[in-house]
Amino acid sequence: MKLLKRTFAEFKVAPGLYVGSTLVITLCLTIFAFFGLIYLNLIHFTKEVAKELVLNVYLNPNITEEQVKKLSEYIQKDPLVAGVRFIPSEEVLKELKELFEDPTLLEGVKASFLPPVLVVSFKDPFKAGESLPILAGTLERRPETEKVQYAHSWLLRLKRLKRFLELISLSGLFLLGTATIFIVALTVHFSLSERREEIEILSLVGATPGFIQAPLLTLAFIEGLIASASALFLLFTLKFYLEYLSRGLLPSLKEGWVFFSQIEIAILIIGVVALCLTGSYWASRRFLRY
Amino acid sequence: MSEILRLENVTKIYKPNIRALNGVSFSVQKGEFIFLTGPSGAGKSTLLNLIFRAERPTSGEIYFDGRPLSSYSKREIPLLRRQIGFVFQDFKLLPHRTIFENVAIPLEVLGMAEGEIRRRVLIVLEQVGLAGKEQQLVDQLSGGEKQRVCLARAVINHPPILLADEPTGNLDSKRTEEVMEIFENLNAQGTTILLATHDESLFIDRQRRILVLDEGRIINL
Repeated sequence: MKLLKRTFAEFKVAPGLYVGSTLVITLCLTIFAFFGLIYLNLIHFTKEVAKELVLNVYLNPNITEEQVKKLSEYIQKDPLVAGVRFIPSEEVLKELKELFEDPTLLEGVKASFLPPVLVVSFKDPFKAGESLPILAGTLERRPETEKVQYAHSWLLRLKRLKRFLELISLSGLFLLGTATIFIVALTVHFSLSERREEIEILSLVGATPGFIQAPLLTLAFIEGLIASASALFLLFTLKFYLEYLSRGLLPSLKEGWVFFSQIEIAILIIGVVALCLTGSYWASRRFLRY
Repeated sequence: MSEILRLENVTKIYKPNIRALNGVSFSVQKGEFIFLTGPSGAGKSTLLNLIFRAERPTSGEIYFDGRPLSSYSKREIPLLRRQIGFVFQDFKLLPHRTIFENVAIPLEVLGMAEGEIRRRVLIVLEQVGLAGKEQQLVDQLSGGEKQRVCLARAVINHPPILLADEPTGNLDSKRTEEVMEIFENLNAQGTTILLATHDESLFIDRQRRILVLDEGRIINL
């Protein structure tokens, strides 16, 4: 209770200083976390696009239901496979008609002319990419199949794009993170420099380091907590706005933008609070006169 | 009377090679009132800072109540300072706080109850002639008033020894007399006082021990 009273008294002495430094820390964090969010979503979108790339197994037109079931079960045994969907010839024709829009193009084409298809989707297409040719080869050799088709080259290109985005974003985040740490530490240091005289005086009249630093550290803790919470709130609001703006831009964006996980949020808050506490501890320690 | 303070061959050299104190030795008995005098730059402030452990001597030893100051760890320095009242030449008051808050600090540091702090602060403010002004901000005070706040803060927890660095330097003759009377009263109550001043009029008519410092040496005991 006494500590809270002293912390409030400390805040009352220089409210502008503490509010100002909290705002600077909030701004730095928001910028850092915004680029973190962009990185997270770029990777997410690339994965979502890759998921649309599937393996099409064209089957013999005379295939029986039992054979389709057995083949589906065989494919699903592969740990990388997320699901197998059977599209009978009638549905293939229907989908083609929807795709072409002009009904005259498919005039006279009968469903029996088109092969039924097994559409294979993968849990992580990038991981599946390497073993895809093996699986495709195995399936192609089976008597129930006519042809196996997949966009291997596109998958490779997407994989490279994902790697490139990871490299660029992580380097950017590293630089931005370093700058953020530097700015937050400097802000805390400069705000305490303003309090230098008081810290010195307190140490000269018999106050222990604990007595002097306790309210300063409490304020640093509160500053870190408020700054990180405000930055996350700003970012969450921004995420909704960006979601609204980017709606319908890409078919893969159906699920919207992803936000930080609970663990990532906890790490960010703990990191910022720890940074504020450390900065405050060392800055105030420098002004103690013992 | 027993000894409260003893300096043995204390030397302080500042970089690059400025000898502020040169082999200073003397002792102070409990209850004494000593004037430390000498021209500006003689080393008076340095000597008080060394006793207060705001600085460390280059060589020699200072004993407080029989214990060498060099044996105090960093952790123990606040405990030492609580036993030594210091009236700073530049006041060293918390500028944005009230008189009450400034004077109460040494008691807050001790973890004293609020009611007791209030009672003691009001008594000491009465003694230094600042009764009724406790809620006034230090920023708004005159030099003389600041000096008295500084004095009140130095004596609030009844330290056995009081160091004063030019405590009347900013005061007119009337205020100087008032402050000197406070020092005399404190000494009469048993507080040992070591007062540094370059103003001879402060001690000329008083039957007190005088230490004269010149170029870092005690020249007269």
